[in-house]
Amino acid sequence: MKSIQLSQVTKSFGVHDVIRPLDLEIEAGQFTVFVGPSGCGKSTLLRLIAGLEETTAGQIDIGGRDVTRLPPVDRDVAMVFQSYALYPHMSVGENIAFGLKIAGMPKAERVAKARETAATLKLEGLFDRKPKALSGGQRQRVAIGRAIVKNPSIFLFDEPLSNLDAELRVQMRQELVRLHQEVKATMIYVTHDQVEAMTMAEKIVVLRAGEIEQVGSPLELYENPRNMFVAGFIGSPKMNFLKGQVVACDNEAREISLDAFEGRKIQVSAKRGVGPLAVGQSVKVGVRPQHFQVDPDGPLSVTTSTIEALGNLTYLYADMGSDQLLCVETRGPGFRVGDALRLSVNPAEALIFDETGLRV
Amino acid sequence: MNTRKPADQLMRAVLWLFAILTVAPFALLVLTSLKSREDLLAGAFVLPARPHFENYVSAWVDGLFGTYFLNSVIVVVPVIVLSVVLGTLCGFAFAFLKLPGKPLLFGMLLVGMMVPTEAFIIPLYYEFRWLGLINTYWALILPQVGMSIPFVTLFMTSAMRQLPKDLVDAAVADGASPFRVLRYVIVPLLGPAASTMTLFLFIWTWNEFMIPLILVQDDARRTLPIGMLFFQGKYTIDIPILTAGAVITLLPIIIVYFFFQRKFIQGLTAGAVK
Repeated sequence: MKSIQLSQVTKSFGVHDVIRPLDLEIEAGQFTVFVGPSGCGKSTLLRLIAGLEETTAGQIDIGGRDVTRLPPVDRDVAMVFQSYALYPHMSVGENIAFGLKIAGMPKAERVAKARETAATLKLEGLFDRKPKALSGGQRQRVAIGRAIVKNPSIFLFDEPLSNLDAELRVQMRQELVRLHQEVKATMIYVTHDQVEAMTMAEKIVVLRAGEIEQVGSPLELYENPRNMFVAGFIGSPKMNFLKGQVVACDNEAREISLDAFEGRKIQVSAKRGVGPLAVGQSVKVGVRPQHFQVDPDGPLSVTTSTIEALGNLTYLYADMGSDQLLCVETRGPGFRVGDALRLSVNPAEALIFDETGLRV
Repeated sequence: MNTRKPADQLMRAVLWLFAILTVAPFALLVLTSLKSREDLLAGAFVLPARPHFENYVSAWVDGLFGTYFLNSVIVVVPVIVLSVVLGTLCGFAFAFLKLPGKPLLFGMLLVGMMVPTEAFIIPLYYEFRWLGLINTYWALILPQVGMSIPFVTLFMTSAMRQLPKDLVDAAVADGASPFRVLRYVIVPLLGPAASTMTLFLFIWTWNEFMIPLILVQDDARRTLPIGMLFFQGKYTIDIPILTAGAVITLLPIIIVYFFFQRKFIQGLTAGAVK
């Protein structure tokens, strides 16, 4: 269990900056998730920590020791790859024991350790099988076994579940969380799936274009996103963003007229405001689907264009022009495509962002 | 069940035609090698009264094909082993290691492949004479290795680049040194590439003509193709024995081809990723 400290870490491939100067601290024993869209640099950041890529500038400390120029084996880390990267010519046992073999452990000892690890991952019966004779979930377990057997202080997971089907993914997600509780190691998990991030993380690091957008606990990011990117990325279905102008604002409430609704006005509580607002300023109001109410007296009128009935919940979608869909969460049946509805917004839950996307 | 389309049938006919065109001369060669000289006068396609296997004995003993055969084997085995081992090491460096001037070195390898033997055979002869290696097995082995390495290197580089990059990363993360990555992870997966290379090198080296012709004059060091040439001069009239020698020369290539053809073609990397 060790902490990780990144100080002004930079990575460029040629002229292309993949990681901009970046500072980050990960506490010992924490389950941290790096999340962001494709190409945001999350995998590169993980590989920098693993030692599979060299930093262009900056320093990486693991457990208080500068490891910036050390090879992976000297960093006390183990990595699980998205593709599993099992050695195809080796059996499950040999795959698990390979790191120990390289470290020079005698055969009897490493086989015993590999067997023990295989048993904890329910792979005993498959010990002598080759990877090609395993299912996706079993291969993933072997890949995890290969990491566990080394007993590292830090586990690094690079989108390890993205090749599994939905059901298995949910199951493996829980197994990984349990693994974290058992081995109590520091874990970093990279994913582009915000649901994985929300369900597994103690701390989420949201990345975009090689920069950290926000760091915090899942609920912190959900409740208090710093900008529109984080607000839109965390939460499913996505937060709705409505363009408008500030009509009035005081210490209690802010009144916004919305462009897509012929200037109809909504009230937003000032309690969740974080910055100053001026009358006449262009803003975007962020409203999560569950913070709309179907309300005959509501100020906003929409026509449903698609309905997704999930049983416990129903999502109503309405066209707002320019390819934008408004998503509203409701309960119960009784809605039809083409219904004209009136909506109101829960003033305590809506967030306001300025034109640059920063929360105000 | 004859429900094939006319286009398919035409294709089959063309393929059969080419197959016959390819196999017929060889069949004729084998047939002739089993005839007596009298049988030969009866016509090329006439079957002999009995097979004359003594032609092979004559070629092997009197025609020195036994010596040539042994020489060919003595040359071809070290050429293949050295070229594949050295080419694999070079390929690994090109595929995975940081190497200053990599593009330049790669370009030089290409040039090495493009220069024909005729262009450097005279300086090569003087070099080997200076080294005192004319009429030795070294004169047959070393130039052949030198000519093979560029191709093996290029082939192995591309084969290694096709391996999943994560496998190499995983081994590095497991603490393996570059040599151990090569030894434990890459080489075991290069079976198909190595067997293809072995086949190519066998055929090239076995058939190599120019280098043994110029660098070796001693009959005791001659390889099969050169042996054939001089045998032809001495026994032009004895066509059955000559064709028996030709069969002795060809047969190993066919056997090796069938052996490596059947060996692992695919499936070795199955299960590695995804």
